[in-house]
Formats: sequence, C-alpha cells, structure tokens
Amino acid sequence: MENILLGFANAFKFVNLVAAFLSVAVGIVIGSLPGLSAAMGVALLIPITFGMPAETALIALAGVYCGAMYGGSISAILLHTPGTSSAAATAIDGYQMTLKGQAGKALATATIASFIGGILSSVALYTLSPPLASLALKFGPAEYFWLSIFGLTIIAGVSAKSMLKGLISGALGLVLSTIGMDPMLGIPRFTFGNNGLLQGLPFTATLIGLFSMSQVLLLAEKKIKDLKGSREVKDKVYLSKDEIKRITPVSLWSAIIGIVVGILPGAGGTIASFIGYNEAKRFTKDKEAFGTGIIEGVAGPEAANNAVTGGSLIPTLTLGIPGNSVTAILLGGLVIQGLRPGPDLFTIHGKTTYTFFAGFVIVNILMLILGLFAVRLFAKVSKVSDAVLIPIIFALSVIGSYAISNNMLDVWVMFIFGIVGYFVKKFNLNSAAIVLALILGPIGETGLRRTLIMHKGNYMALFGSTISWVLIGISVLSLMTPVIMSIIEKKKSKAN
Amino acid sequence: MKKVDMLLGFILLAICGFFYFMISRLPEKAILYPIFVTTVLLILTLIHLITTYLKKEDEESNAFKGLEIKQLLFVIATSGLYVVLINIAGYVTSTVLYVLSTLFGLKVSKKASALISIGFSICIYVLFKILLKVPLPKGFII
Amino acid sequence: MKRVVLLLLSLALLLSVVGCAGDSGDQIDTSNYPSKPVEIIVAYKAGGGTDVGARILASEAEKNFGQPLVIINREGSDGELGYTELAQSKPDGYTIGFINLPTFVSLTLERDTKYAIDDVVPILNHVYDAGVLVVQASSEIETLEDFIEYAKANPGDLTISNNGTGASNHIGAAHFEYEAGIEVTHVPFGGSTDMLAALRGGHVDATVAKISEVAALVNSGELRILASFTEERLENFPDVPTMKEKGFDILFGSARALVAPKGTPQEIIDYIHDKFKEAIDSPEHMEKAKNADLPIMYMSPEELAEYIKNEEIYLKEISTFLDLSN
Repeated sequence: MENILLGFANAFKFVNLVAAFLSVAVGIVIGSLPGLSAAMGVALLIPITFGMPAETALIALAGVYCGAMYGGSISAILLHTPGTSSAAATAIDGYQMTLKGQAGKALATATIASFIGGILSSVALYTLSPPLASLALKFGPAEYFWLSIFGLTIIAGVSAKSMLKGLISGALGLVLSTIGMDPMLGIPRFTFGNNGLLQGLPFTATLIGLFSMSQVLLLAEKKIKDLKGSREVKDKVYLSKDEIKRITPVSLWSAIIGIVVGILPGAGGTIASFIGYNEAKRFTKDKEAFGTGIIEGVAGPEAANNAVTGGSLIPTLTLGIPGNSVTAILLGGLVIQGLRPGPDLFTIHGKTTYTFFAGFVIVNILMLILGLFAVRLFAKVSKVSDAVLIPIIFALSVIGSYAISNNMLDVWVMFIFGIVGYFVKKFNLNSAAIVLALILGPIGETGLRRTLIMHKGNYMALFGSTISWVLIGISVLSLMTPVIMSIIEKKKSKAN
Repeated sequence: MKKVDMLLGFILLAICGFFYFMISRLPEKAILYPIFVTTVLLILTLIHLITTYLKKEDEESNAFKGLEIKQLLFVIATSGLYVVLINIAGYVTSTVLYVLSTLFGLKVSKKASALISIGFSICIYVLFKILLKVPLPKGFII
Repeated sequence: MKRVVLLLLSLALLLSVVGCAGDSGDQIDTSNYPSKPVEIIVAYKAGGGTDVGARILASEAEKNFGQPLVIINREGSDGELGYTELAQSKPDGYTIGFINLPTFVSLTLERDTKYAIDDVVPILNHVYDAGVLVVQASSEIETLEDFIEYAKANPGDLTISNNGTGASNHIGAAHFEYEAGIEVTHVPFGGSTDMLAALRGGHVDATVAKISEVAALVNSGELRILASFTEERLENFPDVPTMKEKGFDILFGSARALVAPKGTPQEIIDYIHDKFKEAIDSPEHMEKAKNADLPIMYMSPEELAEYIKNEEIYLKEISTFLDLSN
C-alpha cells in the first residue's frame, strides 16, 4: 500500500507528467495513421528512452502504447481505415455512424470506452499481476491449440450477413496462413522460392492491404462527388447521460474480456476487439442494428482493445512472457533499464514498478482529456474529398507496409492484398475473418503438432488439462450461441 | 448476386486447385496440415456452389454493376506504377509524381493538385525521415 | 498556372535530390569519415536480444563517434533479409551491421541464401552467449548423469524445447544427444521466449538455452543448469560442470559481431573498430551490459575472422552426422 501511494507521488513529478502527455499525443498520432502500429510506435520510442530514468522511460512507452491503441479508432471511424489492426472491428459500426453524420458521437464513444477499458485494465495490473501470471505459464501447446480453436469459433459470430461466407473467409485465411516455413520441419511451403515469405505473409502489410488499400479501390470505383460538408463532424464530440449509461455495461464487460485476452500470450488487441464487438452484440437487445452504426458497436471493441494494454503487461512484467508484439518490444525497453521481469519487480524495484503503474493510470486519464479535445483536430481529415484521400491513403499504406521491416516485398504484398481485399468486399466475404484465421492458424497448427510431437502422436494429450476442457467448453458455447439465439428469437416472435 | 456468387465459387475452386498442386510438390511429411485446411476450404466452397446454384436468380443486387471501371483501373494502374517508380526514384520524388498525377486524373484543380502533392510529400518527409527517423524506401537513382 | 505547377514540381524534385545528396558519387572519401550518420543494420526485431545488445553498444559508441549511429531493424527470414541487405550495401562505411553466429553461417548451409559468408568483413565481436542445458529446479533430474540415465532407460521420452528447427539451440541439443548416445524428443518453438515458457510451464522436460536468457531464472531458483557447453566453467556459476568435463566435447554458444560490407576501406574499418572498442571498454557500457545479462567478449577482427571460419567448419562437419530435419 505504501508503495502504491509512493508510486503516485513519483508519477506526479513534472518530468513524468510531461513524458506521459507527450507520449500519449505521439501515440494517438501514430495510431491514427493507417499502417503505423502501436508496436512500431513503441519500437520507435525505445532508443529515445535510453537516456531517461527507468520510470519515465516506462511511462513514455506505456503512453505510446495506450495512445496508439486508442488512436487507431479515429481513422477507423472517420475513414473506415483502421489506424491499427486492433481497431478493425471499430470500423464496422464507427464508419456507419460517420456516414449518418454522427462522427462526433462515435469518436466520443470510442474515447470514453477506451478510457473505461484502460482504467479497468490498470486496476487489473495492480491486483491481478501475481496470481494471474501463474495461469499464463500453464498454457502449453495443447492449450494453445484450443485457444486458437476458440478464436476461430468467433468467426461464426463476426460474420453477420452469411455464416457460410464467414466460414469460407476463415478457411481462406487458414489456407493463406500455411504460406511460409513449416513450423516444425523448417521446410518452405508455397513461398515460390522467395525467401522473404519464409516467415509467412508479412502480417502488417497483408492487413494494410486488406483494410486500407481495398478502401482506396472502393473509393475509386464510385463517382467522385463533391463532398463539401457531407462528412464533417456535424455533431458535438459528446455523449448524453443516457448514452453513457447505454455503453457502460457493454464497455465494462468488453474490458474484462480485453484484460483476459491481453493476458493470454499470442492473442492481443485485434482478437480482443473482435470478441468485444461480438460480446457487445450479444449484450444488446437490438441485434439487427449492429453494423448500421450504433454506439454499442463502437464501445465494445474499443473498450476491449484498450483493456488489452494493461492485461498484456501482466505476464510481461511478472514472467517476462510478452502477450503481443508491443509488449515484446516493451520488454526489451525494460531490460535495457536493468529491470528483470519477476518477483524482484515488486520488491527490489518496487518503487519503479509502482511509479510505472501509477503512470499507467495517468496516461489513461490524459488519453481521455486529449481524446475528447484532440479528436476535433483529427476530424478535419474526414472533410477531405475522396479524390484527395485516394492517393494519400495509398501513399501512407506504402510507408506503413514498408517501415515495418524496411522491405519493398512487403509493399507488393500490401498491393496484392489490396486487390484481394477489394474483391473480398465485393463478394461479401469477410476480411476480418481472414485476418483472424491468419493470426490463429499458425498458433493452432504449432499447438497441435507440438502436442503430438511431445506425446508421440497420441491425440488424447489434447484433452489432458482442465484449461483445455474450459477452452473446449467456451468454444462450443461460442459456436452454439448464434444458433441458440436464433431459436430463442423465433420462439419469441411466435409467442408474439 | 447469383452470377457473382457462382463466379466466387469458381475462383475459390481455382485457389483450392492451385494449393493442391503446390502441396503435391511438398515432401510427404509436410503435407498433412496444408491438405487438411485446403480440404476444409474445398468442402465449404462446394456447399457454397450448390446452395447458390439452387437459389433463384435475383437481378437487383449485383455488386459489380454501375461502377466507374475506367476510374478504378486508372487508380490501380497509377498505384502499381507508383510502387515500381519507388524502386527507381525513391519515395519522395515518386510520391510527388504519384499524388499529382492521380489528383490530376481525378479532376482535382491543377493548383490544388500541385499544392497537395508537394505539401503532403514534404510533411511525410519531415514527419517520418526527420522526426521519427523511419527510413523511407530508396530507389536506384536517388 | 502551368508555370506554377512546373515550378513547384521542379522545386520538389530539387528538394528530394538535395535530401538524398551525399549518397551520390562512387569515390569513397576516407579522409573526412564520418561526415554523416552511420546506419547499423540489425537483422532482428527491435527489443530482441540482438537489438538490445546493439543499442547498448551503439549508444555508448555514439558519444565519441562524431556522427549519430542509427539502428535499422530489418528483420525477416531468420535474419536473412537483414544480412542480405548488409552484404549488398555500399562499402563506404556508412552502413555496417550486426551478425549472429552461428545463424549467419548456418543459414548459408541450410538454404540458398542471397548473401555469402565472405560478403562481409569482420570489425569486432561484442557478445558471446554460452549455451547451457537447463531443467526446472523442481525436476527430479539433478545432474547431467541423471539426465542421461533417464534418457537411456526411456528412449524418446525426455522432451527438449528449442528456438526453431535447425536453429542454434537445436543444433546444440542434437549434438549433445548424438555424443551422449541417447534419444530425446526435440520440440521446436517460435523463439527463445516461447521455448523457455514451455520449460517454465512444465510442458517440456529440458531446454538448451543461452546463459543470458536463463541467468536471472537460475538465480531466482526457478531453473537449474545441468551443464554448460563451454571450454571452462561459467564465471557466475562456478558449480555448474561443463560438457567437456563430463566427457562430451561440445562447445556451443552464440556470438554477436559487428561487420561491414566487403570492400569497405581499411582506414574506415579501423576507425569504427577503435571507436567501438573504446565503447566496449567503458565502465558505462559494462554496467549496462551487466544489467541486461549480456556476456561481453571482445574479439579483434583477426580473431573474429578465425571464429567465423571455425564455425563454418564445425557446422559443415556436424551436418554430416546430425539429422536436424525434425
């Protein structure tokens, strides 16, 4: 307790506040630029933090992480181009709201939901770090396999229009995820002799293609209209008390999911936001309204992906197991500062750790303030005519896909998947399902094959642990829910 | 949508066929998982083809009707050329030319096109190269 | 109007040319080196082991280098992308890079890489991370003898996690398996973090890792080192026997070295070497390296060249009797 208070006292030092403020601002900018991910932002900041005291450096890194996670929603809402992959789910309803002239409301929802997610995850950071950390280590190959199956069952939920097309999208993603080196044997698969594809399709470039460049083509196929004023943020960046009441339960539930997903290694913001979206839908009475632009559809994914920030820090700090690519980079920053993950962080380095935790809370408060204020500035982006957006989004997509690993091959992958993504939308397939399958495919494949290697080919090893059974249980639930829901609704309508 | 959906089915069949062909060239111990996922896709595709075939024709909603095909092809072409040009002339020069020519083609006024293309390129250069120190693609010439 | 456009266009062209000036001209002028920032290619992710080491050293060397040192992460294909980029860079001293051994060498033996080993010239070695065989501290296996005994009684039952099929730790584990005449099951993981998590979660029985990755965990009492793959006992763990003492002549570890593209003028190599050597010897660097568990081992250009040569010979030799395909 003493440490916690001391942490807050330290975090309110002028230099730490300045670091928090600037890093959140930089994070929001990076997050809102399509193609620049939170991971990239944190990686760019690492060298700058070398000279700082440990706690200031960590606060700055957390600021960029949280800011970027939130900033992704701004371009997702205004441009239908998620600034970071974890905002892809936000684009579904957020963009529809913009089309309806409710951009301000959507942005306010995203800001408040992100804040709720972030604050709740900082509570988790304080309280759950030690006990929950031991759970993450219990995830062996078999559990990872079921985790990926669970993730794949979400595909059935995210495909609103046609379940079959959702499943086809998922299967297509799985097939594409086999490109690259065989994870167990080291044999190249479908790389066409190109060594750049040995690590699989470059994920970020593929994502920028599917979500950003395809948007360029969708803009280009329509007659360019004189858009003066039509996509302005006409309304205030403001939510009424009633609306805040509407999104609070959704945000709280999604935040809890985000925290859990964040703790699980390998999952991260993108998966959390899709589950968050799905859960928001389950939580709301008017399911038909989803996809047409309602605040719950924005609050769900945004609360979830910002809750991932604190959740993913838990295993990173306590066990040195990063939950996603951002915390993997953060871990590097931690090590440079001489902090080794483990129990020492809470004893010997207690002062630094608790200052960092307090800084995390401050970062989220600053994000709320900056968000509600700065969003006005960002909203100006959406006033721009389609004719201008077309080349600019594409030019940014090129930098985004190039900068991840400084490689022109990635730019070509982005280009090809831009065209693929265009047809995916034309055929009513689901880009989000493809992306989910691309992430989960390798996790599931390696989990399955590692389990088999470890147990001499015995498939029963997949059912060996309680965690496996829990994951199987929630997978079945997740699969059955749409079916059960439709049966219940039919009965209801009959009764009426 | 029926025609479009049938087309989708055939494209997916072609993708499955392509992957089956590629799998046949892999060493035997590495083929199990790729075969499994490709077969899942094949089965789903067949279900899709059959259900689409049995559906009634509905002319009203064709996603490929009423498009500005010329404009779309123009954007794809300039974007492709842009990526090629980056390899030769580097990012900044190529971006100026690409943004300028695309805006021009989309009938934005000359003055605005010139200002936007140059302004945007300078912003990018300052933000990425100078402030964030993100390396921009280099070309053979520059 | 047209004139305005033309004017602006030529201005932009001029700007971009000016921005990239200094790259042009084939003559390498060594007299005023360094006259612009030097890029250091790291072929792995920002925040990874190689990157951390590179950044610690570069931030120290920058103090007296005279120009900024910019780390460029060019990851992909196990490092091949970055190595290729480095090998194909202009040998003007403004692009240098870190390589990991044995990966830099083993990649060329495993696949058709777009770079060759002698496309680079050594500058110096920075880090040498020795290989160790570790188990959980709670494991019934107390010593190397226990390990071998158990493996002999239950062939194939012991599982050893590694950081990827054919990757450095897999080579070490397979070589030990061969020398000890035992049969174990190798379980490949995506990287050293996952490989260690599998051991810590009790999903595998043992791991061959680098000492820097496990030192803290051994000190905290979570893991136990059975043996080190070194010539002499580890300085910080004097109780741990070496493989050599136990009769298995296997030396294995990973080195991280600074190299330049072939053709870089000798004066420039010497300049970089001297500045970086100075940085390595500085107390600030040593302090930071200690905090990050980086075992520093300086090697001169000649020693490094010799080391790379020997590594190639070793890898070629073991590939004749080890099957690393699973």
